Amino acid sequence: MAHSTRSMVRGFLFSVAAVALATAPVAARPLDEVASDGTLRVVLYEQNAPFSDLKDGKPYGIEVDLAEALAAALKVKAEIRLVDAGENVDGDFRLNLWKGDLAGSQLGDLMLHVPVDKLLAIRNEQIFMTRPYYDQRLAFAVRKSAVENFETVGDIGTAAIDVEGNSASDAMLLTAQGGQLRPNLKHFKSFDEAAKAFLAGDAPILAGSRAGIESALFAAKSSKDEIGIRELRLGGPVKLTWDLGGAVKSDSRDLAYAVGDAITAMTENGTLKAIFDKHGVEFSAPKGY
Amino acid sequence: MRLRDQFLTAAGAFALLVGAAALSAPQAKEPEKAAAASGGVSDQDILNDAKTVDDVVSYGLGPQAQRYSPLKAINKETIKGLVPAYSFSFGGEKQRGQESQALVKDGVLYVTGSYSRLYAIDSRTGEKLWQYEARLPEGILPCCDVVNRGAALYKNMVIFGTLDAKLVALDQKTGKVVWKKDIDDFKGGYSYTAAPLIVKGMVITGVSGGEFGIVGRVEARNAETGELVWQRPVIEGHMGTLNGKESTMTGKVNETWPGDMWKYGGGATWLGGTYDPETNLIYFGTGNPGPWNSWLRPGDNKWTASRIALNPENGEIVWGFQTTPHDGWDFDGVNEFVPFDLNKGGKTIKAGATADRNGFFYVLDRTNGKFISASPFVEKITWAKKINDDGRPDYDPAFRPGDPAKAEGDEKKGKSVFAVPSFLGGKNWMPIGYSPETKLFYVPSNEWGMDIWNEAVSYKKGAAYLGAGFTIKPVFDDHIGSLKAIDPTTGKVVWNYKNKAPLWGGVLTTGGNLVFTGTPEGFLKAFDAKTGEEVWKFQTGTGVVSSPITWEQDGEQWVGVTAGWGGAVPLWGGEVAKSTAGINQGGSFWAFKLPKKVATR
Repeated sequence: MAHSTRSMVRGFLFSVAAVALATAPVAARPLDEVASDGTLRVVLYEQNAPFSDLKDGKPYGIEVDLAEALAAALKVKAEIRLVDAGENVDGDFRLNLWKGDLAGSQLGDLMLHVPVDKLLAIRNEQIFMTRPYYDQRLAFAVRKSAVENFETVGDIGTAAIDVEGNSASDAMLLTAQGGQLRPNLKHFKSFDEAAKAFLAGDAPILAGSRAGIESALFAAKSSKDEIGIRELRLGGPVKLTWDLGGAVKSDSRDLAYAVGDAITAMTENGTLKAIFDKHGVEFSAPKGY
Repeated sequence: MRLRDQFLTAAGAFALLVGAAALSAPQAKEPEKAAAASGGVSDQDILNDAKTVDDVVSYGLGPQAQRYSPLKAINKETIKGLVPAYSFSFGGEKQRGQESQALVKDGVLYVTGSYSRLYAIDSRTGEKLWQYEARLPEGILPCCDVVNRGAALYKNMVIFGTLDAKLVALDQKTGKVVWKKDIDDFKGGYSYTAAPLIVKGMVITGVSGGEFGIVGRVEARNAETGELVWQRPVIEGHMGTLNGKESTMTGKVNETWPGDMWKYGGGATWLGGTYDPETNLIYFGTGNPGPWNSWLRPGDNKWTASRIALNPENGEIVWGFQTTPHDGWDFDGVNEFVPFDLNKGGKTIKAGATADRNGFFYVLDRTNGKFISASPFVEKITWAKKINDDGRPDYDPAFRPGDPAKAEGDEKKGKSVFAVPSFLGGKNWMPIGYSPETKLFYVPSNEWGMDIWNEAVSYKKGAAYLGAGFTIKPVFDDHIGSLKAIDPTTGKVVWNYKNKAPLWGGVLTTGGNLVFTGTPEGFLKAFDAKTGEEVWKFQTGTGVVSSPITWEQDGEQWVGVTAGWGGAVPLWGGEVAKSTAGINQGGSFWAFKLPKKVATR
């Protein structure tokens, strides 16, 4: 880990001021500053479909729509910045919310796609999390003609599994059953590549997030009769489900509360469900909200 | 409205527009021996670099990189007369780590700076002749600072690599681009910081990068055109290329990797290599394997954390030696392999030595990679009890971070262990030196360990994954840095200079029986090569984390070093940061000389 380019951070896609060249990053801001400025700077991951990615040179995805809806609820405009994921989310907080990068790029006010996890929050006292908006789960897509009765790990047998390398699903499969599934795995650089290979008939099983799988099947207009989605309870150290929410710098809690209130309203009035539907993903509310 | 193609370069936009900062100032004085007329730096000049004292035309003062100069005017008696001649500022708002070794040829000194900048200055006066600033994409984020370690000279070109993984050849006189090639796509996580190596008219480079999907490789390009000649991936199962066609596979598929994990095995070759004309072999170190958690990839995981020897004609691996098979500590074994002649039992053996990240100093037969000896060069190593007679570590299982799959409790942490050395290594990037006079190696090392654990509750890109946690801690209360003189025949430490802060700069040895190195505290220091007695120091005003050089001009011996605090150390907090707190950044090249009248007094 001590040797290389781990991540690149891209510029805000809209109206980044020349201050990016200053030596100290411009601070993330509490609610009143966001309101008076009229913009909410939202940091999202690039190559993270269906949540956020570049499409035809523009940010596109569930969280892009969500960011715009949140900004509208705060009566400001969203400025969306797509960044490559760093070595871990802790590092992404540091680069995008509270410390900044070596180039002095502007900090974001809000990051989305943040796992709302108590331990992660405790480890990162510089940030404060919003309430969550989605229940993320790991899942499998299964070509029904190739794998019968896909109910337990034992049913996988020697069937090959397409999976994005270094992803949550990869970690789950590499550690499951004492590593017995390692020979089954076919690794790809991105979920997108793994899904394309699966849809082209490469392996009978595709592993990934439920949202990723639903969206890939939706885009390919695949038939539910041919390809099913399953969640398996594999034993192992990797979490199979977690909530997604937002994070702000810890001195901007009022912004986090305002965002949280907007999330609650959008959950209740169906706006969130509509956004997820648009991208072919079934909305699944976080537990307890 | 600014889009993503904002550029880092803060200095004048005109420099960006012309690509090369065309500051080939007409008022600057012309270098005397016109390089163009002589055809510039030849392969022979590079091979002779260790012997020719009036120039430094390669990284390491010769392709063997012993970092030894026979110059002896400066010695422990005369060194008190060594005085600063000039300090050249890299300018701009951008400072951070300056790890560059300078080159000197025909009255011009070439030195690279942070953020992929290169300067040509008058080697006598320090006046700037031209500077080149690479056009870097915004927000490029190398893991361990925005350093550059130096350039290469060939014919009338000066060649260096940039943080966005490009290789650029510039005209020595004007700084104008002669050719420019992509080593790889920076968006895929690739970068470049090492000094290129010139072998037989080819420029030899590795790659930097740690993202999933990266496989380390060594590449040779025609130095005059930048066209690729061969590529050699270092991980088993990958195909090499020669003259645009597939050549041979590295090792055998799946021999030391489970499943298809060899496809993304890591092994970044980020530190560059050395070359030995006697054996006609190129030597490279290879980095740590991926994924990080060793429990996921049972096997030796070749050739990660290894030294490999390559045939310059075709890029074939002639031999490999793995220092840390199945690495679980990020002992990223890229460390340089330095050829030398070992006198043992009345015989001269063509040997080579390497001081590994894992804390052991290895001596190998450089003709075939056969293990000769290994001894600890840092104290209190825990991860291995010793290196066995076959060269493999005698692991101590109690000091491998625990398997998170076997962890219990809510946090699901694998067992935490205190491993020595830390992942920053017994030695990191900073080059060692060898003096054929004293027959000793000089190793800038660090005495630190780490609490390390595999952690299940980690998140990457907003998703759960298996991460690692670590905390670096000093092993001793009073020092971390430790410059050691090591006798390669016995592996014994002959002397040890202790430094409070971690050492992060390379060494220089001289015929005057001196060893030079820098400290984060800002000193360039000289030591008696035989005894380790500190005989001279100079405060540069910022940390020194680069490799010094020495050369002769106008009958006087000069010493030069790049100054500017940074590199990977300040990026890691905790107790280690205390030893470097308050050190200011900088960016300059300092030149010193011993005036003739002092030398002869």
